[in-house]
Parts: sequence; C-alpha cells; structure tokens
Amino acid sequence: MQQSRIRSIFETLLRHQVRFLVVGGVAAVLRGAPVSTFDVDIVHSTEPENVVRILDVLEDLDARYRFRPELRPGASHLSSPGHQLLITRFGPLDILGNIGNGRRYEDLLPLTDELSVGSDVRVRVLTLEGQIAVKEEVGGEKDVAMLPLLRRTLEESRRGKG
Amino acid sequence: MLRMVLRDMTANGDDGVDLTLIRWMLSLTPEERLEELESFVDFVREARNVNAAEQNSLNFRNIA
Repeated sequence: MQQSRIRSIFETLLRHQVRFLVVGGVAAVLRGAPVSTFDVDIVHSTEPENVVRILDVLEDLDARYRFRPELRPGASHLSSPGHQLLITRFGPLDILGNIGNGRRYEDLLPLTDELSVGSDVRVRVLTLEGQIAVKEEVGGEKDVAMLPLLRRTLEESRRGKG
Repeated sequence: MLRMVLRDMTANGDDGVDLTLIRWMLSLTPEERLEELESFVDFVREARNVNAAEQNSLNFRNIA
C-alpha cells in the first residue's frame, strides 16, 4: 500500500519535534466532517527553537513557496504570524502563524487534543468546537459555508458519545 | 420511538447537510478518515491529469 502523503508530512514534523497543531480541512476530516481538501494546514509555535526545527523539516520536505517555487521561507517568515503557503515533496503544506482573530499556537492549544493517525503517529488536532469558533471569527464566504457541516458533525459526534 | 427512527433515517438536516455521510465518517477511526480523504484526492488528481492529457492531445490534433 502507498504511504500516506499527509502522514509523511506529520511524521517528518514529529521526527524533528516540531510543536504544531493540525487545523483546516484535514482537521475537519480527522474529526469526522465529510469534506475534501488538497492541503495540510498547521499552526506552529513561533518560538525560536521551534522555528529552527521547522527549517530542518522544510529542508527534508524540499518545501518551496507555491507562488514562487524558487523561494524558500526563512526564520523571519516563520517567526511572523503570517501564512506560508508551500509545496513539498508530499504535497501542499500551509504553515500558519495565526488563524481566526489572530489566534496563535499558544491560544489554540487548549482547543486541541491528540489523535492517532497511524501506528506511533499522534498529532494535536483542533477540536470541532475550535474549528467552528475560528470560522465564525473569520466570517469569510468559504468559512461561513463550512459552518453548517461542522456544526452538524459536532452534534452527531456528541449524540454518538451520549 | 417512531420519531427517533424517522430522525435516524433522515438523510438531510434542515440545513441540507447530509447526515448519512457524517454518520459514516464518524463510524471510522481518524486514521481511516485520512485514508478516505487521500483516496478521494488521488482519484480527483488522476482524473484531472487524464483530462488534461486528453485536452492537450485534442488541441494538438486541432493545430496539426
């Protein structure tokens, strides 16, 4: 069986002990929402030692900017709250300094828990409640369109647990 | 009881969201959900590539 590209990205991040949270479409899927997406979105800690680790990961993944493949992000980009939209040898990867109303890694951490996505591969994933809160904050057309699906998934997931 | 059965058989919520898909996704483990996503994305990519190749060959024939 072909190795999962998304899992390969996670494994590389974990191998380098990067502090990150899975958000966006992949987080929605991992929580049970029937959506599709082509990129992996993560929010990272912008602490200097974490930025150094991410730079090693990006080297391993041969990551480049999607809009300018001749460029690679540097430490200053990864220390900022900005969004780095990259293409790697395992597919698109968005490294986000913040999401929603300026929520950074430390703000989002309480809204996450760990999920297993393979043997020995456990990643911190934004909860459905967290995803809904962020999308409500952003309020963009795409975000608002996703809200009914996320809310229903949350409802069904609670019903299943109840 | 009847109400519960009817609710469980309903495919769409008031907002048009397909509940059967959500229930199916929730019946899978996170690992299986990831596999479903990737197999879907792979299929779309493959279909796109085939279509692009066919389109190119069509354009080439039109030019020739």
